[in-house]
Parts: sequence; structure tokens; C-alpha cells
Amino acid sequence: MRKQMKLISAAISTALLLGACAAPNKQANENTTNAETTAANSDSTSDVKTMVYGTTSYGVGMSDAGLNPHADYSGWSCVRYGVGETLFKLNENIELVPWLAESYKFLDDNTLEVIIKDGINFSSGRKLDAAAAKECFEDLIAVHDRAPADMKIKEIKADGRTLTFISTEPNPALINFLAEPYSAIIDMQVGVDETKNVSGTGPYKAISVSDTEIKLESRDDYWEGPVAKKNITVKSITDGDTLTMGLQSGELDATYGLPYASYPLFENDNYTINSSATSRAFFMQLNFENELLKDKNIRSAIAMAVDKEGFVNVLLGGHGKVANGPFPMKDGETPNYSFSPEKSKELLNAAGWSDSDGDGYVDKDGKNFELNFLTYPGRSELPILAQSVQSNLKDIGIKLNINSTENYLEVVKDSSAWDILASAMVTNPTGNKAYFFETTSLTESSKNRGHYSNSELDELAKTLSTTFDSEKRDETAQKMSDILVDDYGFIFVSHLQMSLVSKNNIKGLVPMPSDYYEFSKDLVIE
Amino acid sequence: MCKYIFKRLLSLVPILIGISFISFALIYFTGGDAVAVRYEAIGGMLSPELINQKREELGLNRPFIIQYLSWLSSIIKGDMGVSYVSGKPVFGYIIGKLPNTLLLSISSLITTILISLPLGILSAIKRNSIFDNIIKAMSFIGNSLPNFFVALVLSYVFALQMKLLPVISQGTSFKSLILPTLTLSLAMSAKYIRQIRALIISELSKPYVSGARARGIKENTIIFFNVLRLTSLTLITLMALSFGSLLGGSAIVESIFMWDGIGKLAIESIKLRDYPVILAYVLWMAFIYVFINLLADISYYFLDPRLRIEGGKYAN
Repeated sequence: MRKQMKLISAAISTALLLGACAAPNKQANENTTNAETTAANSDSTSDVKTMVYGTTSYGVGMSDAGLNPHADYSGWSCVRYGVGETLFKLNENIELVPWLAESYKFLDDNTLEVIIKDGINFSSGRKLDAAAAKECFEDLIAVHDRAPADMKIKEIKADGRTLTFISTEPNPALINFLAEPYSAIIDMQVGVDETKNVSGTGPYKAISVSDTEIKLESRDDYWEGPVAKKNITVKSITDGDTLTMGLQSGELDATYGLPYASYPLFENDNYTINSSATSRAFFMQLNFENELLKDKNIRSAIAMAVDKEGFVNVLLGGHGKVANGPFPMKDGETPNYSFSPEKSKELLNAAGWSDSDGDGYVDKDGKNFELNFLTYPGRSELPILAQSVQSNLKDIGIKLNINSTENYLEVVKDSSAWDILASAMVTNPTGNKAYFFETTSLTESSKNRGHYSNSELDELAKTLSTTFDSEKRDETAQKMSDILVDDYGFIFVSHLQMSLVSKNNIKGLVPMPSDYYEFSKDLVIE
Repeated sequence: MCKYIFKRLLSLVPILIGISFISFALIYFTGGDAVAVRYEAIGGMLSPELINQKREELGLNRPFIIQYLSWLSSIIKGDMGVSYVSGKPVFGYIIGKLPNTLLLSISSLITTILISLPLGILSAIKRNSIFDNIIKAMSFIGNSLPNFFVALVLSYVFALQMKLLPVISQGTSFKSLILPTLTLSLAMSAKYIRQIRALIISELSKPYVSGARARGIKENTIIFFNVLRLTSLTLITLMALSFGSLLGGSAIVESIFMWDGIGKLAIESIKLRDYPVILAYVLWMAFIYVFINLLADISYYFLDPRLRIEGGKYAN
């Protein structure tokens, strides 16, 4: 018995010892986090208030862990959380405006000259000039995966505040890529530390960075003016329900990425919901390998049967914006076609499809009209869209078989396995509208899964790639969008409305359509 | 004894090779493209050339068997590779999450024992009483409830309504440990109570118990020093399996409470097709199951004198 007691004691001691392995980190985390949670309401030791911000968009899984803009998508975190800034930024209309840049001009098709504003310092204290920016861009080009191909930079010259980019070929979109978060300018003399922290020019500097949490403090010497003194803790939270309960319980002061179903809980005086329609579009691509879908009447019948308003207003609870094309509709813009199941039925009848056996589905030559719908659950809106479209198409007699799978990239390779692919994409990430067409809808586009092809669209894309004038670029992009919509090869359903939900003592936490900017100098904790 | 332990540890080698091969094959043939999945998941876009270049860098363009043998030879050299997603060495990555999982596993197991042992014994002793029926009903309900539901209910009650505990774990503080521990323990306790009850009832009907009672030995002495001791062998086997499972992490509970453990890591890695981490996780699970069961077997030797008297089984 004594032996057994010894054995049990030994086992418990070992277990406790192993458990204690967590202790050193644990203690540190515990102390800081408890301190912050208390501070979120009021800090008893000083006047500095702390905001705890929960987000589903930060972490290793999102490829944006850390603040190093030259790695993966971490530039998003660097810019979103107000640490880094870019030469240009995208305004509320997703148009480029100078930010760290004072002015710019294309000296010729291959040369862009940018004058940097005076009086800007990094959080390290170093002054931002063209030489500092050059160091940063040279590192970006050397180590980043996407930037070299996007920017096509041959050489960078620095002289005082004048930064000159010389590209390998005419690249009108270069200026757009200077607004991409990977172009955030950081002090390369300080570099990137082992926690992936950097020194930028933004209103906040990070005091600690990990894969799950960033702690920020406001800067006293921000170039755009005074920043209300505060601390911010960004916490990565992957579960939507946890995020919801965290805000309800007061552990969080503000959130990004709440599930749609949670919004009604916060539609009251205790919380503020700030929303903005983004260029993230939910859309369907039709598979042109399917003979039926080569018929434009059939495609238009499907497009007109989709109740976009119902999807946005009922199923998404109004947290979206009906789409007409790849880019959010401007004020006063009218859709190219409207929801009309009657017209859809007429078009199907004209194509020889009718419900001859009374089973509720239209048929032809003894076969029902059946389509396979492919999507993925990674974006919660997509499976909802699938069910909505299934119901819409049933109303006009088309049977839709839904396959919502994480493995859709494998399924999509087999053209016979799907007819409609629903996906989500940020269509205008840098104000360069050519990006969407080049990636999804030209004959050779890598994401043109349905093998859509339109020679006029391909030609316009070539024109766009060499057009520098921004008005002409917009015009051409609009023409391309109209072609795509009127061809019914792509059906654009809605645009994501991004909402930041906070306690009502948080002011100035306003989302932007580009999804790049979250914490500005105007963020205030009352 | 030492020979036996050595033999058991040696048997790990073919098990680990077999499991790793099957896992590798499953991932390879059904997993999809690790590079494309990763960038699609975050809505990013890479050109086909860049995707191909990244696949080349990661060695994903090589034939299956070459990839597997290359991975295996690295493992033999003690190198588990680098995570495709975080870029960190896999070994350090998993080891970094281990203390949290270990802490949650131990606390859950201890809580389970503290709940289920007394209730199971009482339920068996007071068989068919109201108390027994209530316990049976509760354990039936506990068995039926999925973990995520229990987690949400506990969070609602203790965090939202009573404001006693945090929803979001604050490191590995004691307060943060309570809800995930309770979530895991309630489901396990429901299972254990029924097992303990059945074991004790079965033992109580054996002749040695009648003999002891006839000799006037107190009921409590019989229960705690005879019955419980003999049922402990089965209980240890069950607990070893549960502990092995807990050490694999509880993905749902860890995700809901933002407990930064191995289960959460495994789910995120599977989503992003982070093959080196998934394979390391599979190896970890296989190792831990074999190892924990080995420890359970060794404990039998000490707990059951018959095995020592028979002498040979382990000594050989």
C-alpha cells in the first residue's frame, strides 16, 4: 500500500511539474492581460486608457502575424493597426490619394517620381527621407514574394525628399502598389526584430508583438498631429462566438469580424457599429465547359433569377451591399439587369425548357435541368448564398446540387464536377481595377475557372495595362465591367459590408472600403 | 521489466513509420495544394508562376515517395521541418504549445476523477435509489451534449451572466483554466461515472466481497481497500486512453476559449494544409498513445500483486 501511495504521489508530482513548464510565460501573460482587462475600463495607475480589440483577421492562419510588411500579408497588420504608412492610401471611394507622399508624376512610361512630405519621423526617431524609403523598398523587392512581380522595379534613386522608381516596363499600376500594405515604409536601420516588430511612421508603435497579440501605444511625435494618449491590445480570436461573448462580457472593447447573427445583440445604445461597403465581392462564375451554359439565354435566365436584395437584406441581415459588377456601385448607378424570375422562366421556355412532367423542374428531351454548385465554407456568406441560389433557381425550375467543401480547389480542376462556382474576392485591393479582370476573367487569367473568354474584354485589358491617365483607366474599367455583367458569365451578388463594433466609449474606429486602415490618430477612448 | 519497456518502446518504430506513411499518403492524395489553399484562404492572389516557384521551394512538385522518404530521413535526423504557414521549426512550434495542452489535460483529468469517482461509487452503493437514478440521468445528458454546446452554456452562465470567469483565456491563468477544464471534465465525468458504477457493482457481487462482509469487515473498508483497488486496473486503462486523447488537444474547446494548445494548432494546420505540422501532430498522437499505455501497463505491475507473483509476464 505504501508503495502504491508513493507511486501515486510520484505520478501527481510529475504531472504538476510538467504542468508547471507553462508557468514562466503563463505568469507574464496572466499579469499583463489581467492588467489590460482592468485598464480597458479605467486605469487606476495613470490616465492612459487601454482598448482591447478582438479580431478574426490577425494571426498565423491569416498569414499576417507580426508587423513586418515585407513578409507575407503582415503589411496588412502593420498598416491596419497604425504602425506603418504607405506613400499613397486609398480613400473612402477606393481612390488613390497621397499619404506620406506630397506629390508625384510619371516622368515617362517607366519612371515615377515621388516627393515625400517633410517633417515625418519613424517611431525610432529617424527622419523619413528618400534614402530611408529607398532602403525599405530595396529590402521589399529583395525578400517579398509578390512585390517584385507587381512593381517591376529596375532601380530606385533617392535625392533629399525625391524618390524615383524606374521600372523594367511601363507599369501604370506601380502607383497603386505603393498603396499596397507591403509598401509600408519602415526604418530599415532598426530593421525587423525577432518578434516581427518594426518601426514605422504611423500614430502607434508596437511595444510587444506575438503571433496572437500586439500591444500598441500612441506616439507623442506623430507627424499628422496629436494622437489621444492610449494603449491598444490587439487579440487574435478565431471563433466568432467567442468574439461575440468577449464583447458582451466586457473583456473586449471593440471587434472586427463578428458573425452576422451577432449584430442584433449590439444594435443598442451601449455599442457603436460603424460599417463600410468593401470591394470584397461574393460572385459566381459559370462553367463554359458545360454546353448548356454556353447559351447566353440560359445564363441570363440564371442571373435574373438570383434575388440579390433578398440575400443581402434578409439572409445577411442588411450587412452587405447588392452588387452590379466587380466593384461597389457608385451613388446613382443602376444595375444592368434586375431580379425577374418571370423573365427567367420566359428565357428558359424560349430555349425549349418546360416542366412537362409536373415535378417542379423544367426538362428537355426527358432530362431535368440540373446544375452543380460549388463553393467553400471558409467565408460564412458563401454556403448561405448557395442555399439562397438553390431556392431561387428552384422557383424557375432548375435543380441545384450544392457542394460546399474546403477542398474546392481540387474539385474545381474537374470541369465536369461543377457548373457554378461561388467565391469571394477583394476585387480592387489597391485602386487598380485591372487587377480583378487580369486575375479572373481574361482568356488566360489564372482564376478564370469557368474558361470564360471575350475578345473585346481581352483587348480592353491590354489597353488598360498601358493607360496612365486615371480617368481613362476608370472609363475602360467600367466598360470592362459592363461587358462582363452583360455577358452573364459572372454573376456578382453582393459586396461585403465590413463592420467594426465597439463599446460606445470608443470613438473614431471607422472601417474603410479598402479594409487596410483600422486605427487612425482619431481613435479615442472616452 | 527493463527488457519489456525496451521492447514496447521498440515497437513504437514500426507503428510510427506505418502511421506516418498512411497519413502522408492521405494528405498527398486528398489534401489539395498547400500553396494555393493558403493564399486562397486569406483572399490573396499569387500568379501561377509564383505558386509554382513556392511549390518548388517547398518540394511539393516531387513524386509522393520521394517527398515521404525525404521527410522520413529528416525526422530520423531529428528535424521535423519547417511550418509552411508560420515559417517556424515544427518541433519548437509544437513544443511551444505543449505546456498549455498538458496543463489543460492534467487539470481536466484530475477534475474528472474528483467528480466521477465519488459519484460513481455512491451511485453503485445506492443502486436503484433516487440518487442513483438522478446520477444516471445526469450522466446520460452529459454524454449526449457536444463539447461546444457545453462550452457555450458555461461561458454564458459564468462569464456573461455571473461575470465570474473570462470567456477569452488570459494566458494560462487559473481563472482562464476553469471553463475549458469544466467543459472537458463534464463530458468525461458523465462517461466515467457510468463505467465506475458498473465496475463497482460487478465487483460487489463477487465472492470475496461476501466473504469479507461475513468476516465483519466494514463496508467502507471493503469498498476502498478491496473493490476500488481491483477496479483501478480498468480505470487506469480508461484514464490512460482519455489522457492520451486530451494530450492530442481538444480543438473545439481550445478554439472557443482561445486556449493556445495543440488541438487548436492541429485544426488550423489542417485547414491550411500545413503538412509538416500535421504530420508532426500525427506522430505526437501516436507516440503519446503508445507511451501513456505503456505507463498504464507498468502501473498494473505495481497495483496488481498477482502480476508480480506470477512473476514472469513482465520479468521476461
